[in-house]
Amino acid sequence: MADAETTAKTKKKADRTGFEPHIIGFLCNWCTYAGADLAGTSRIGYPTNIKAVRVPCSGRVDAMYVINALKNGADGVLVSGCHPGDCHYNQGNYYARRRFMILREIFSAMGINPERLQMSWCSAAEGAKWAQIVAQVTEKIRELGPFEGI
Amino acid sequence: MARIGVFVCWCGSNIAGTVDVKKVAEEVSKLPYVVYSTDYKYMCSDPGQNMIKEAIKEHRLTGVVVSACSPRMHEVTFRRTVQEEGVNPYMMEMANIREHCSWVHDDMEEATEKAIELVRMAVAKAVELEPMEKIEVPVTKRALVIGGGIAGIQAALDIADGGVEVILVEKSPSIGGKMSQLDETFPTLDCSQCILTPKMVDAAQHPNIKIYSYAELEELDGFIGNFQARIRQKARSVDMELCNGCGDCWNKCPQKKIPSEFEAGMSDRAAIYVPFPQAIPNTPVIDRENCIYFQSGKCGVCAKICPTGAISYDQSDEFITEEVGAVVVATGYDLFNTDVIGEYGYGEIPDVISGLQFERLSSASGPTEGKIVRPSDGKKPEEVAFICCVGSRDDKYGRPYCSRICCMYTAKHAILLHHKSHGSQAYVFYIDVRAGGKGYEEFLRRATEEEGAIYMRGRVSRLYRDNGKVVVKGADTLSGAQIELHCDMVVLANGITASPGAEELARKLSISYDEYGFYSEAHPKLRPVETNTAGIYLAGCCQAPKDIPDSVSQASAAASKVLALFSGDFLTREPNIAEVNPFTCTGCFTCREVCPYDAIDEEEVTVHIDGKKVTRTIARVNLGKCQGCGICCAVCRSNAINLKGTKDLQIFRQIKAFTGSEKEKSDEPVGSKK
Amino acid sequence: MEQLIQEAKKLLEENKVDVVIGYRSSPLPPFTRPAFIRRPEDCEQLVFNCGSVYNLTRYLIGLGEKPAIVVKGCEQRGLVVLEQENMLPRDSYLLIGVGCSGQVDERKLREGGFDRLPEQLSDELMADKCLYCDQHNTPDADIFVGDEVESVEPRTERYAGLDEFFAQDYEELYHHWTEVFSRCIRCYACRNICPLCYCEQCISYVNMPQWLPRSVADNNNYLFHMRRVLCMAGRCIDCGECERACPVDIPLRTLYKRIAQKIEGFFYGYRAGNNREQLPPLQDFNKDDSADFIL
Repeated sequence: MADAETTAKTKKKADRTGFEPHIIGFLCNWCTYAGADLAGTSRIGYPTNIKAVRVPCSGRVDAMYVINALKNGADGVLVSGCHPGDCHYNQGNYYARRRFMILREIFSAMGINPERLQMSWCSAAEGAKWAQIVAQVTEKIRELGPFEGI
Repeated sequence: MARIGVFVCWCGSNIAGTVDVKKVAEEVSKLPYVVYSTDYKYMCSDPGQNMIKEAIKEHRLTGVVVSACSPRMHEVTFRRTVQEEGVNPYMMEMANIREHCSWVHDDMEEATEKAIELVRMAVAKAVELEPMEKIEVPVTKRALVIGGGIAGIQAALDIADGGVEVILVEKSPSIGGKMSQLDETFPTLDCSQCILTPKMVDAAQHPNIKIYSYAELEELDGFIGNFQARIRQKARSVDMELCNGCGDCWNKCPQKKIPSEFEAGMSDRAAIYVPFPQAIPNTPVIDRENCIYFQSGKCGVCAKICPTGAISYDQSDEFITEEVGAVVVATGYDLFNTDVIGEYGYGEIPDVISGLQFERLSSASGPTEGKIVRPSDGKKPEEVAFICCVGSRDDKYGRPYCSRICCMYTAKHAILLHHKSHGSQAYVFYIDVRAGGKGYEEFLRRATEEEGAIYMRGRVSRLYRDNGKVVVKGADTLSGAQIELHCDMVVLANGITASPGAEELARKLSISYDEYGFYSEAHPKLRPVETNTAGIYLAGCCQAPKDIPDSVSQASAAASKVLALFSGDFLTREPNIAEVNPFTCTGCFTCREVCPYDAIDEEEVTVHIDGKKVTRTIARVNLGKCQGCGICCAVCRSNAINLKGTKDLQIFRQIKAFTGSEKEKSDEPVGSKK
Repeated sequence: MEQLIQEAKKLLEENKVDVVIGYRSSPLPPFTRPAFIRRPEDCEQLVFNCGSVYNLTRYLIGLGEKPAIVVKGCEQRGLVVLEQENMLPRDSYLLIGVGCSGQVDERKLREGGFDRLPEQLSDELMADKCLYCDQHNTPDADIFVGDEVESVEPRTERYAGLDEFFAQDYEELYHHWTEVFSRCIRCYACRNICPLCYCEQCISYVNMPQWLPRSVADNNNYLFHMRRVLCMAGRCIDCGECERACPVDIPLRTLYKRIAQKIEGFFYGYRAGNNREQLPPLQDFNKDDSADFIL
């Protein structure tokens, strides 16, 4: 938590130069979206780079959404759902896990750094974890630089 | 053409302190389809909501974007607001610029920029929103309760008292369950039979309850409000109408050497039997596997002796289909099988018995009429050891969980021993004593302080026979001393395991279960009686180990859920469910494989493709079962299935709006809403 | 192939099937072509040899007649996938099994200027998928014709060379594939010949939303093929028809096989079409699936 806060604060726009990644997050309604809400309620800061799309379940996230996000200017994509065993729909996150495991392999094989697709489990109680995830993903994508493929 | 109004909330200084709301409103007013945008201090207040209504009227808005707090907070509020002004409630979209923006960022410029992006995404989705109507499903106001133990009986009684018909299915010949085998109950020491039997009678005589005993659920079809339960009535071999329960048959039956299930094997029963004298129904069944007539064709004594001619050897299993609207699963538990613990010698050393066997020994209706004696020689046991956590909290046997009842029933056994077998000494080996219920700690202290039980903290490593005694070897971990006790009898506090066949039943019901076979509740805290399959509820130990008060509470809770479900003639459900495009569905049914709710049915359709009539079997979403997760949509290769409220097109629009036109490359036609 | 002809005749004469789908000779490489035989007297035309390269199972969906079909061992896996996907019940066709010791690489025949099939098929002329074949005889055949082929030691490994190739860094791979796909003319032959591409409407045609851009720009081709890799993940049986049909020699199987290799590694040895009872990996899950990449 402390880490996330410092990251957010030390990386204020005024202090930064250069590349700011665009990151799109597909957040499941029941766990991660609520976890992100909790981060807000608890005022735990994180970088502004991520913008969330609310979906019912990480299992809802079509692989094509990720591909299209990259095609439409995202530098990185985060899919986040409930922890294994906690899925509101029992098993959606397990399907998502397999789907994105494969998509990352397809990315690797076709020359897109798979790190541009990140996945996390974050529960409705993990506001601090959410902030940390965002900070971590933002940093990762920042290191990778702008996505210039497709 | 879509006409979108955007309403940017300040939330006092909660948003406006970090986000330049004026700028957001101004910037988004330039977006396509946005015909009106404004900002206000508190959008959720009455004046705020009125602003929205006024704007809908004045600007003929077809869709509304409220840029404020989390939709998890106020989506319902603003949906109602637009509905009151005649706009379909699902034409309202929220942009979360508080929890996801102003509260987590502190640089005004950056937060404002992000807020604009979030609103832009919400507007893009709002343009593609479609009006939806809530789904109404008719309800069959009858309930099925599976399992006739105390939880099932309580649920059935509560539902029936609410004026709803109940079908109660019990797999053994009598209702009553495990509670009927118990002697006295903790922490009050009231007699189990005395409090249970009246409830059994109530259930049997209740005009709204129909009991199928010696019956099992074969198949469950349908969905919430509209289930079809196929019940297998196993062949009793006795006509329930004719039998008057006189008991001549079981008294005269020549095959009497079958260990009685009810007496936990402490005495025998006949091949034709009622499990216990107060059984309901009081009609015997023939245990065909042990009946001489069924095994060799010779005998037939019961048929000859029966004064009413009720014996019917050629009865066969029958199947009955009952229409119900809800199901309560109350299938209970089984006791951990202590045979697998070799070092305790259960089954080999006659004076090592299970907790349930001790209940029968202690019960006035049991094989010894309540006299506590050693099974080996019928003598009074002077020193009795009780071992806790047998098959509980033990990774070695795959059961790391606490069974929750054994600490308390062991304390009860120690007290009962003290009461019924004067001068006998109880030694209790425990790991931790868990006495978390109302009056439980006091009861435990009574056992140790008033009733003389000696508690020792430690696991017993081995039991063996020596000179007519059972030697208990273990350690007292508090004093660090090795202990070797020569006892007359040892009672194992077996833990609770899922009942046999729990997984199979779960599959029939399409409900989920954990790695131990206990059924999973929909939410561990907030929805403890529902399952993830709508219309199916849980009561008692089938969900997790519980004592009687907890089982009864959960049963009443499940009953109240059922009654609430039946309070209207229709079920109203949110309309965000999947729908199939009949023109592009190939009928591969990949969707069905991944659906957690079994909500994909088959449908024959005739469609015109390229001027030709084609009949195909395609997928159809069951309105009653679909819960709107959208897993099906993501696995469909032809994207022929879509989730209302989170359609592919709506998400694509959000993705595109996310970076605006900065890096636009798509050759997609611009603007779908002409 | 006398037995094939006799069995086919019998099936048609006894009206057990309406059509026998097999191969007949052709003057051009690969010197056979698909044959749809409906009259017993035409059965004489049937052949099976090392030029019988076509995967005939492509013709089964929506055929509208009861067929008997000649299927090689490798292709039978496609029938299993189609059965799993409810597209083709096992009882909707009669499976004529054959022993196959390898098929020619059509391209090499053309390039070598052959005017007929070689007497003895050398490893050099053989399609590369046959060099690591482990299914020479059609499993689950209703009728097996000819002699079973004794198992031959594979001469290469199924996934040989892939690890080395994909060890290149992302930039190199990206350039490689964009360059390769810049050749693509979007003729969709790969898709149209694939026995597992049966969608009523391929999503590359759908424009609301526009899943895939349609113009033949380099990046768009790259995207189309990425989507195809996704479609084939856990399903591709490596029959090789897409590469054979590609008019611009795009090495599609390199990608499909790479993903198949990964799936085999991740999901407990899963190989498409090997086992009817085993759910395809993307319709299935295991609570213990690897979670290394998850934050």
